[in-house]
Amino acid sequence: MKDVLKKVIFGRKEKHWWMNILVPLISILLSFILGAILIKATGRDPVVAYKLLFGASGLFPGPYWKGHFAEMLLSSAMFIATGLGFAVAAKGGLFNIGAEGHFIVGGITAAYIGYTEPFASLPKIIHLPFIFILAMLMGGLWAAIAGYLKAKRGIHEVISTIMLNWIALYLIEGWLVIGPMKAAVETGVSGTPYISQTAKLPKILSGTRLNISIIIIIVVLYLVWYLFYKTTLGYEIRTLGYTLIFGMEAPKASGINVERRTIQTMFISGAIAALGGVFMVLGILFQYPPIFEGGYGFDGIAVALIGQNEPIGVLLAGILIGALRTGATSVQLAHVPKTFPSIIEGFAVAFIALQALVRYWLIKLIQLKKSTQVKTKGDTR
Amino acid sequence: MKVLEVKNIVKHFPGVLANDKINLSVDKGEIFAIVGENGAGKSTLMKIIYGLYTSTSGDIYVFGKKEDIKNPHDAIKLKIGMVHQEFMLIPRFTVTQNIVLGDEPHKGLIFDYKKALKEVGELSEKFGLKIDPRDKVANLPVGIQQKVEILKILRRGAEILIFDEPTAVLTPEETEDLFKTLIKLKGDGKTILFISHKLKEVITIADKIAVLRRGKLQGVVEKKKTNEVELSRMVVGRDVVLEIPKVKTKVGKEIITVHNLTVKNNRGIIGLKGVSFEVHAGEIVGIAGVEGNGQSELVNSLIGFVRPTKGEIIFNGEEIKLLTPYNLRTKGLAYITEDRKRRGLVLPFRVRENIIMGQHTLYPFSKNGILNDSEIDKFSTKNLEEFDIRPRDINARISNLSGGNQQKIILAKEMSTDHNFLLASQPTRGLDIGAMEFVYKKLAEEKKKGIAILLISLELSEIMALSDKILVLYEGEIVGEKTPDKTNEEELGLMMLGLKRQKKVAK
Amino acid sequence: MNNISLLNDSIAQTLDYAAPILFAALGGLISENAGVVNIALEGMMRFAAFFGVWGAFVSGNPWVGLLWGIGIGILLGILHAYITVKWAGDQIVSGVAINVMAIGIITYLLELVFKTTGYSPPVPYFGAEATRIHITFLKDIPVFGGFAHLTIFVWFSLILVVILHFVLYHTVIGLRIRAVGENPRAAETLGVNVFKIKWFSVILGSVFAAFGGMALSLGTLSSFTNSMAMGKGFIGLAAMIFGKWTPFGALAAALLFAFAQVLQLLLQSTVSGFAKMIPLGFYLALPYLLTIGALIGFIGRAIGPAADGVPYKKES
Repeated sequence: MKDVLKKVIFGRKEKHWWMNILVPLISILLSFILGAILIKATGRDPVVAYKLLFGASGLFPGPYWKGHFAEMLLSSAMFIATGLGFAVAAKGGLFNIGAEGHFIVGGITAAYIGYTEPFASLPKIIHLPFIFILAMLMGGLWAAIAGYLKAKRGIHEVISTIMLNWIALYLIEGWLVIGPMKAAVETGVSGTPYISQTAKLPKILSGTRLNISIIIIIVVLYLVWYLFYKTTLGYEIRTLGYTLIFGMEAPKASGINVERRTIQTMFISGAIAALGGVFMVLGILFQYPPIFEGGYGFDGIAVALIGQNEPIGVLLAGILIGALRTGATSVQLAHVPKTFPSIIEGFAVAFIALQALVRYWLIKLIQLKKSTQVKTKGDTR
Repeated sequence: MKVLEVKNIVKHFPGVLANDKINLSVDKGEIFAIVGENGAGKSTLMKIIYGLYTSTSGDIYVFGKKEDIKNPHDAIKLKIGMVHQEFMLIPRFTVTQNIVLGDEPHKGLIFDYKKALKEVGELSEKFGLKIDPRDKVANLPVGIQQKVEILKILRRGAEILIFDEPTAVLTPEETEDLFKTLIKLKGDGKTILFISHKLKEVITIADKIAVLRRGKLQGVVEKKKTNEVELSRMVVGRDVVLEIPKVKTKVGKEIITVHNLTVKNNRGIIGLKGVSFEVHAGEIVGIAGVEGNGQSELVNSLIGFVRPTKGEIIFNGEEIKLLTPYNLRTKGLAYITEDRKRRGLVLPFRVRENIIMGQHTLYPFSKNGILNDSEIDKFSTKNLEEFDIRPRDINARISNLSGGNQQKIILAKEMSTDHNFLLASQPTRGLDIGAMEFVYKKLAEEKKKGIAILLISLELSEIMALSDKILVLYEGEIVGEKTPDKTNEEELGLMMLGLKRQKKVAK
Repeated sequence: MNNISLLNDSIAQTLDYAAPILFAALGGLISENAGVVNIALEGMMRFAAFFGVWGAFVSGNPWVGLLWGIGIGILLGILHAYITVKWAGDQIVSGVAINVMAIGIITYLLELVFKTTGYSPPVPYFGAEATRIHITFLKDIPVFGGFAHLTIFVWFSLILVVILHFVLYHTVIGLRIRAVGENPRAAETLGVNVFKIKWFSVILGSVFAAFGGMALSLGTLSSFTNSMAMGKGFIGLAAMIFGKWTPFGALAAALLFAFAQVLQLLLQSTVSGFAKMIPLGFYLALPYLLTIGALIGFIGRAIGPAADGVPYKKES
């Protein structure tokens, strides 16, 4: 057991690359199984629950499919945004837990530029892109603070991003939204004023709320993939991942500026996560409300982890989680609360954390297969 | 009385025979030294005795009884203690806390710190190892930290004390202090084994000296019956004769000049003490020396990793000691490292991704920040051919290549840049004969192109064959400057081991 | 008279607010002193807050609730330790998993057990007059009067600070815990069972966090609401760092952070113009700002145990 354990923890790099796909798949599968057990244990019917869950998720055709499909893509877009943010940082060896913060920083910026003159009167073709740019800039800067603290002071980004999350939350909800950005009392609106028409994301599916956010994020996804594998910046960020985690010096010896790239990586990460907030404000809420239903940040981390920090994985995982979220309301019909998907998510992340264990099981499975194969070979002799 | 005997110890590591039928016996009260160059197998043998490794075959007898030492706890029970090269100390804790950890004096659950202080104080007195039990380890100089380590093992009743390169981290004064300690311990009946490559010191202190070379025991000599010359010959030895091309080139102008270069190592101690030399275009200057005598400090300052505390480095007419690695490379520096896994390559990356590292921002590999895959592929394929790297797969992951091929990738990566100064630090380490010959061929080509080459190597034959000028580095200073025709390996060996010093050294 | 009771009430309130933060901080620090990072304090507090209420509901007795809370704390600690110590899994990811699971599972259970969506009915709790610790003679003394009617949770948190300090710095086990967090390899070579110590510290830490959650639900509020523990786990983390990973430091930090909250309430309710001008958000953000300041070094560098967060793998 000890040798397999050693192989699994130390030597897992490239011997079994297909494991990188199997591990998340198995983690998800196991989570669903665990979820079913949980449902059964509380006296409900798992089959019915899952049928409802997937039926209303927008993944499969069924009643009200158009609506569900739209909702799923809307959700997924935000999860992919925060997930991509985490993945970009992770590729660079940084643990950015700040997605929640970047999300709301992006959101409040979008709201502000969305309702404030003189921007609000600009034609859509200028107003909309301008909001995006500014919101991403603010999100990026917020993340870059943590990057700077890490590069120059060695402060671990997990702590600084968590702190910054709460600072952002309280400064936004405890100051901006109830103070300088508060909608005038006469309007009867709580929270910020509503954004102008020119700030709203164009809809793309009539009869639904579906807007271009999903398209934007897929484009961004492609850009991130392109960045990682086709540009020098992405190349250097990937070396950063091995520098910061494994202590390799080759990149530095080759002339790569580790400090600068650290800050830049965090900036990009925050800018992308901020997109989630932009989508929320410009496409769903059309304002920044007094209390923001969060959760897209942490779930983004789950999405990225399940997607193994690769763009394609983040896309698939994002859609899965978005689908689960959408189907969640319907699952209540089976007397299962709508927070059920986040339980599944939690399980999946736990299994990802346990990937050493999962890989160990897989290796044992392979060894078992091999030994039975050898046995049969020996028999025929 | 034979305190420790090892019989036919063999240790295999994948691809390496670290210990090849070693037989040794150590008497009580002896100071027994084990010497040899890096990779000779000394550390491996000690770790087997201490239970950190298990031997592939062979037996160990402690106090006459055959023992099976599976882990350090077994060794400690047998009264064997080891002071590692890298100390196992907790900087935040005090001396006392470090020494008694795991065996704390206590009253029930409560840690009886007062009693611990007293015990440590008494121990310190008894063995003449002066330490203040209350000091925080982080504040102590390395020499004192070592004493804490020694006290740690003495407290657990060690009778056989193993030291792994104890003087590597000490100043000369601290070394003297250590030797006084060792003699006192010997007087107390303790048996001491220690590993060293510093022959000068070993001759001073040891009773018996065992020489290991490439895993084999060359012999055991008594101090009284040997001399320095014989010892250094045993250590350095005569290597297999390689076909090393001797290339005559016209030596050009000065490319790099180092003047009074003083550099600290990562422990804050001065490792390079006011070294001066220059390298001309088309010239190979070889730095000979045993590892740990200032080579890494020299390299680190030349590549821009560490800022020298004193002195100048003038490269192509420019003072460069404050520049970053990136700038140095754009100014024409190329660097071949022996630390393949950490400094030379990013192991999980593919061949093509490693081979362009450092040049990736340059045309034609990228333009405006966008990588040009086809150019990178072309370049990689060309270099795989030229350097005969196997497998010929530009997408292979570096971790799957053999050490020799990995080194070739480093060569390809560096030699293909636009450079006029090549810093080659142990370029043939871990390579087989064929690969080594290839490296020499390439170095000769570089030389013909007029590149200034600074070659740092632990292999004397290599230095002798390739260099136009040889500088011997010992304890951070240049103790000899010779041309190959005016010296021989014996003389160089003596200088490398600190036993001979040239009176007048280079400016 | 009025001012004294105002002072005392403020002190009592500060202590009340501080208790959950302190428990979380102590939970975090016992774990991190052994080298295991735990960012799931938030989730653990939630779980325990809920299970405590559930237990009290089912049995009609807050003490049973307490046991339930401790039980879930132990279970969660075992989970985190299993992932991070036994399988050397990433400690942050494990923490995230627990946090994500928390809200989901609890809402699930809330519906199941109480058939509600986000809150529980009131249960017998420790905040009730009967179960508080009354030291009535202190009531009118300034400052000390604040200690006149505290819950057992508050008292326990204070006592725990002393106990933990004593254990960490004056017992054998404490020395070994700290050694493991600083240099596990060195500890291993001296015969210390690194794995056992890490397991122990993680589970203990989780139990402390559990107390923190229960201090809210069974101590102050008498019921469970989803929005209740919001952020307390993370403030606890901040307090741990700000307190430089020491029990008394955590106490000081928790009191400071709690006081910031109380001060904000006080100032908002008085009519003084200046105080009203500082928005609520700044007070709430203060703990986190201070912690970042501490990390940068404004108050002297806050450096944790050397091997904190590093999964321990045995050598070949």
